[in-house]
Amino acid sequence: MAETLLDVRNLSTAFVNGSKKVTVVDDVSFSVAPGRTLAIVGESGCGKSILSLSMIRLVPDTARTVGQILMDGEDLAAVSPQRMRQIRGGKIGMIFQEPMTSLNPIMTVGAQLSEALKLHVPELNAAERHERAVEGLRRVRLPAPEAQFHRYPHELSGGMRQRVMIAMALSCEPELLIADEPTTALDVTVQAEILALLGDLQRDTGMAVILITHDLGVVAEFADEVMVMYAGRIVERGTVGEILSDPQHPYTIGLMGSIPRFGSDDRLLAIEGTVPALSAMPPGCRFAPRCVFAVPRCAGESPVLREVTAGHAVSCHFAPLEDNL
Amino acid sequence: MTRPLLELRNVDKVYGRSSGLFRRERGGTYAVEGVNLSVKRGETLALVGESGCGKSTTARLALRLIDTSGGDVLFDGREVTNESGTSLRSLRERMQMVFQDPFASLDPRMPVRKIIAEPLEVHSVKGDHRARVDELMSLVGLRADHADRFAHEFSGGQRQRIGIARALALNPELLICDEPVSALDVSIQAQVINLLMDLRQRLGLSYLFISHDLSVVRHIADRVAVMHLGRVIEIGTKQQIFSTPMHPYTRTLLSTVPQPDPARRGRAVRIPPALNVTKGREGCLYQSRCPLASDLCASERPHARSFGDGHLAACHHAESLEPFTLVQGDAVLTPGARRRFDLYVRKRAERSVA
Repeated sequence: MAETLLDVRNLSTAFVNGSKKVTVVDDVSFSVAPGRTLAIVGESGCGKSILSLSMIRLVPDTARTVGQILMDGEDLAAVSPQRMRQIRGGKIGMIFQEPMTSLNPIMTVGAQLSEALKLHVPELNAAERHERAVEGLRRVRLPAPEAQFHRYPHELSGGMRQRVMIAMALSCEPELLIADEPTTALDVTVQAEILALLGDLQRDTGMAVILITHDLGVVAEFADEVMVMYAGRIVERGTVGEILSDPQHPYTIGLMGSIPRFGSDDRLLAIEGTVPALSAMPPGCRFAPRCVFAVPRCAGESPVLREVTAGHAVSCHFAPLEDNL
Repeated sequence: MTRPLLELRNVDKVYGRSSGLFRRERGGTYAVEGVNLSVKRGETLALVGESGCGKSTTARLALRLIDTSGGDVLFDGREVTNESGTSLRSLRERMQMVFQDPFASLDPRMPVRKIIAEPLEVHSVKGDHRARVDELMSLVGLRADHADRFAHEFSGGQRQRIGIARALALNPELLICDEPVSALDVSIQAQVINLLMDLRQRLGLSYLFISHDLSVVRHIADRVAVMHLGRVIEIGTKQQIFSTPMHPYTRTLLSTVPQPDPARRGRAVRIPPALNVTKGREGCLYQSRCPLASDLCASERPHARSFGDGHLAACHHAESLEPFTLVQGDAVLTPGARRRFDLYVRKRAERSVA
C-alpha cells in the first residue's frame, strides 16, 4: 500500500435547522496518496461539493461535520481556525467550477496572486512576490504573463480565468489540490488544454488531486481512483479501470447507460426518476426508488460498502448482480 | 425537391457597424457571417461549435428575435426578415424555442399552468386552455395534477420539461433548442434527450438543435453544421461529419472530447485557443489554429466546396487531409460487466412495461 497524504475517516456533514437535521454527507471514508488523483463522481445533490468543502472546513455555519480528516498527522477537523486558514491555500489548494465568481472582479490578476502569497509566504518581499506571481502565470502557460499580471478578470476568456485560478491554487505549492468541476464551464477544446496542464503540473510537483466531476470522459482522462457518490453516500469505489470496465453498482451502470455514445444511436438507458430531496431521504438503500433491481429488502436495510475484489468496493446487497439475481 | 422548412441564405449579423447617410458602412464585429443552412421538414439539424462561435445568434436570427444585418431568413418559403406585426406573429406560432437554463427561463411567480398556457393567451388561441395544458403536461411526462405548483418546486429536468411543454403549446412545426440539456445532470439529460426524440416522432417536429456536446449531437441529429468564429465551416449528414470530416477544425473538435475509456488517455488532441477576430476577417479564420495553414489561407477566404451529396466544407486544403479515424468509445467491459449490463437492460424494460 502506498503512503497516504490525506485520510478521511467516517466524515459526515449535516445541516441543522431547529429540530430538523439533514445529512448531506453520510459516513464517508477514503484516502488519497501523493501524486495520485481521486475522482469523486456524482450528480447534483450527491454531496460531492459539500464533501470537498467539509474537508477544508468551508461549509456554512449551519452545518455540523463529524469525523476525522487526517493530513500529515494533523486532524483538520480539530485544528484551530487560524491553523486551518494556513492550511487552506497553503498545503491544500482549491479550484472551483466558475472562475468568474471565484475571482475578485475589481482586483487585477496580479494583485490576487500576490495576496495569496503575502498570506502564505510572508517572508517574500514585494518584488519577489511579483516575480513568483508572474512565474505562476507562466507555469499555467498563459501567453504574455507579464501583461496578464495587470489585467482584470473580465478581460480574460473563460479558459484564461481558469488558468489564473490554477496559478493561484498552485502558488503556494500545495500537497493536495481540490478541483471542483474545473472544466465543466469550458469548451471541449479548452477543457483538453486545462486537463493536460493539470496533469503536467501534477507530474512536476507530485501533488495529490481530488477531482470532483460528473463527466466520465474526464474521469477516464485524468483519475487513478474513483469514488461514485449518490445522495450523500459512497455507492462504489475502485480504480478508474475497475469503475469504467467493471461497474458493479446499479447507479454506476445507469450513469454509464445514460451517456450518449459516439458509436450508438439507440435510445439512451436513462435512469428514471430524480435524486431524492435531502429532507426526504428514503430509508434503506437511497438508490432503491430508482433502481431497476430493487426488492423490498433494499428499502428496509442499508447496504454496507463491501469489497467484491481487493480494492473495489460496492454498496449493494446484490453485488455482483449477475451472480446474485 | 421539397422546400425546406427553415432556410438561412447568406445571413450576416454585425454589431457596432458605423454607418451614415453619405458614408460607406464600415467596421463592426461579425457575430455571424455568410451563414447558409436549411432545416428540412422532420429533420434535426445540429449547430455545433465553441462558445462565441455564433450558434445562439444564428438561432435568434432564425426566430427574428434580432434583426439580420444582411441576407435572408425564410420560413416555409416566407421571408421572415420582411414580416412584421400579425404576419410575423403567425410565423412565430410555427417556430418555438427551448432555452438552456430551466431556472432562468421560467417565471418564478407563475404557476406552471399559467407558464404553459401563456403562449395560448398571447396568440389568442380559442378553446379550453385547461385541457390543453393537461394534455401538454402528460405529453412531456409531467403529472397534470402538478399544474398548480410553481417552477421552484420542480427539479432541473422537470423544469426543462415545462419549458418544452410551453414551446409545444401552439403546435409548432420547428423547435429551436438552444443547449437544451447542457445544464442537466447526465441521467436527467438522457431522459430529456429521449423525450425530445419521442416528441419529434410523435408530432413530426423539426429541430434546430444547438449544442456544444458532440456526443449528444451524434445521438440526436440527422445533419450537422459546424461553426467557427461566425462562419459555418462544414455541413453534412451526421455520417459525413463524424466519419469523413473534411475540415481540420471539425476533426479537432471530434478528437478533443474525452471518452470514458482510460486506455485512450492522453489521446485527446489539443489546439490553441480561438483568436478574437473583430477585424481582419480576410482569409480563413481558422488559420492561426490550423496545422495545414498556408499563404493561400492568409490571403483568400475559403468558400464552401462540395464533397458529395450535400457535404460542404470551407477549407483550401481539404484534399490533403489524411484519412480520419475517430478516437472514440467506451472502456472494454469485463465479461461479468457485460452480463450485468444485459441484465440491467432487461430489468429496465420489464419495469417500464409494468
